[in-house]
Amino acid sequence: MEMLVESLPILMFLALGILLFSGYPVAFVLGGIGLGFAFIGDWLGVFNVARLMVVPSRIFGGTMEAPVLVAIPMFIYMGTMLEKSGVARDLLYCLQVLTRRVPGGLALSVTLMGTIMAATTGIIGASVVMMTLLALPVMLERGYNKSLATGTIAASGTLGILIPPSIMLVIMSDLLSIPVGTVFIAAIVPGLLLSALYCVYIYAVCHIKPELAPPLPDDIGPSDRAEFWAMILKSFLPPILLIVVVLGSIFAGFATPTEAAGVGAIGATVLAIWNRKLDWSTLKDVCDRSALTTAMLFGIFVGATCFSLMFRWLGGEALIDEFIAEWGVGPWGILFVLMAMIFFLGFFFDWIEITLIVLPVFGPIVGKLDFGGHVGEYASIANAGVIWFTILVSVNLQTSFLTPPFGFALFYMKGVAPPGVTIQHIYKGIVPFVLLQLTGLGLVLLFPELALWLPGTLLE
Amino acid sequence: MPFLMRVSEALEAFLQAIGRVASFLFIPLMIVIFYDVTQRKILEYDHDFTSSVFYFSSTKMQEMEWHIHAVLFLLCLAYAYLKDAHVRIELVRDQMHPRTRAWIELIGCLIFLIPYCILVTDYGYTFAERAFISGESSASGVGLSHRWIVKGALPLGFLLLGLAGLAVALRSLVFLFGPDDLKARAGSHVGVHHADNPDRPVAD
Repeated sequence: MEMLVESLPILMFLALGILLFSGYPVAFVLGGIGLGFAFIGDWLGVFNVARLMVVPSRIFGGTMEAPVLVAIPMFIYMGTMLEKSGVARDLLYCLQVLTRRVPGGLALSVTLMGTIMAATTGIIGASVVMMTLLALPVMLERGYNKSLATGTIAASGTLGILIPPSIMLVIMSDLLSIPVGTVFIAAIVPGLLLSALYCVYIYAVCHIKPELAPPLPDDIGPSDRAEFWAMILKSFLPPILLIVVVLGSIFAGFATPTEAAGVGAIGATVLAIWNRKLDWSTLKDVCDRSALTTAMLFGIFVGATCFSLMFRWLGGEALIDEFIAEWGVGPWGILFVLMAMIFFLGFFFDWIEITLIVLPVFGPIVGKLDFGGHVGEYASIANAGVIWFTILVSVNLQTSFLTPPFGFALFYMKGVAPPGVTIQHIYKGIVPFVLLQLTGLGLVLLFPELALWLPGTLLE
Repeated sequence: MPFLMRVSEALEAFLQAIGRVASFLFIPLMIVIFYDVTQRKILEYDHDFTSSVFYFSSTKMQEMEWHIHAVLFLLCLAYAYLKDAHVRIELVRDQMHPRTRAWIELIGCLIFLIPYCILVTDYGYTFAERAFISGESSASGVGLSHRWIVKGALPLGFLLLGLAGLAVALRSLVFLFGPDDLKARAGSHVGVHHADNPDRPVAD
């Protein structure tokens, strides 16, 4: 009996692991299991169901009365608006024209697009699907190698979770109680590093084997100089300017992430009006789709509230602390175990479930980890270690989404790819990018400065 | 069975209408943020403006932001379930027979979703009622009053979500035990899709 009571928190995770695969919505499974274990605890005499009375005030404090989280619906709206109003498509076309004479130009343009348009919703499934629909047909039509094309799209489509403005970073910062602005700045160098690694690889491989990426015919794009500049002015500069203003105002400390997101949402709407792409049905569609995405995200938030509350009440946190103390592997050991666990979870789940389930449970431990002098001292950043950890988790998650055979992003891609593209093409194409990811992850792990130098300097 | 189907469809039409209207809250939300940023960053040194009726304290504006955000997502929880937009882990589900999926949906609604909604609606109602009786306002003193309104959105949102669960449970019943001619109409939650795929069929 006592054994059973002590292992209740473990059973909770076990039940979650099994029941999630039933295919019933994650948000409701989380809430239901929390409630179910409250009754089991009550029945065993170690818990009183009436304590759940505080669930509403937890939901209120954690998800409603949280000014920072207002940035999330605004970033989602901004991304959806840029996509639905055709700004994203025009930008990709523009990038294709700009890179047409470079080996692997189309693939490079997709990578640049993923880097710039990281804002587009930030939900892995949605980004990868959008990029696949936009770019894959064009690449195949131009005779690109299927593996190169799919690998590039999957890797670039997932960059969005890391490169700000990223919804995932907003949520992780909220859960770990660190400032969103600082985390955004910290993600810049690692994000651009990965993007640069992709570009160098694509350029090199297309230079060595030109048959993988036939060059575009010269007649693509505008025919004279005036038309060319008109295109740059119309479809290249405005979205770039929008992203720069949004991020710049956060980095300069001029606006909070929420303010920047709100202004970005207005900006995306104005851009759509300016391009004469905004009519009533588009606006309705954008609001509708953004509302569904927001509700989906916060649904998991409110479900996880009950789950993690029950986990703590049944002694889960104490259990983990005890386990780690007895185990004695030190901070590095704990870091590696956490990273391995997150990597494994990334095979099956999107970052939403992983961060909302894992971080509330393991967050407190992370704050206590001491890596000695490895992380370094930064006068202007509190909790430098936690920020470094957040960036590591982000790169790790992105890698995990791309790793065969279970890579989460790869399944989404297969779902919308043209019939000629098999899962084997996708697996083969993603391998070099996974190796690049692992290189990036290793570099950030070895040199925390990659994440911390920029915020340390900018915020001084 | 046709009766259950009609009840389910009536419920869904009602809940979807609420969700569709609530989805337009994005527009006031961004306008409030934009207005607040503009008046604080650009117009705050202009005395004519700050003493006019168009000036609102930033505390009020910023509280209004999370009020709108909270109402927006709470009122859309039910809508998102009816549109099947909540994340599912589809690895195993893809291989299941449609009848198995309908069973899972039915059981899930009855033992996970509906009880959780009853819990949050019931305790949430007390939570909002307490705010109403005590006349709770913003803790900052200069913020918004009538805190019970936004707190009341919590039980309301979960009441709607619970009703959505009921509608889907009824649908699943019809799919499992109803006549063949109703099955097509009842099968909105047994199909396989990959959640964020814009081309996926959605139930309208």
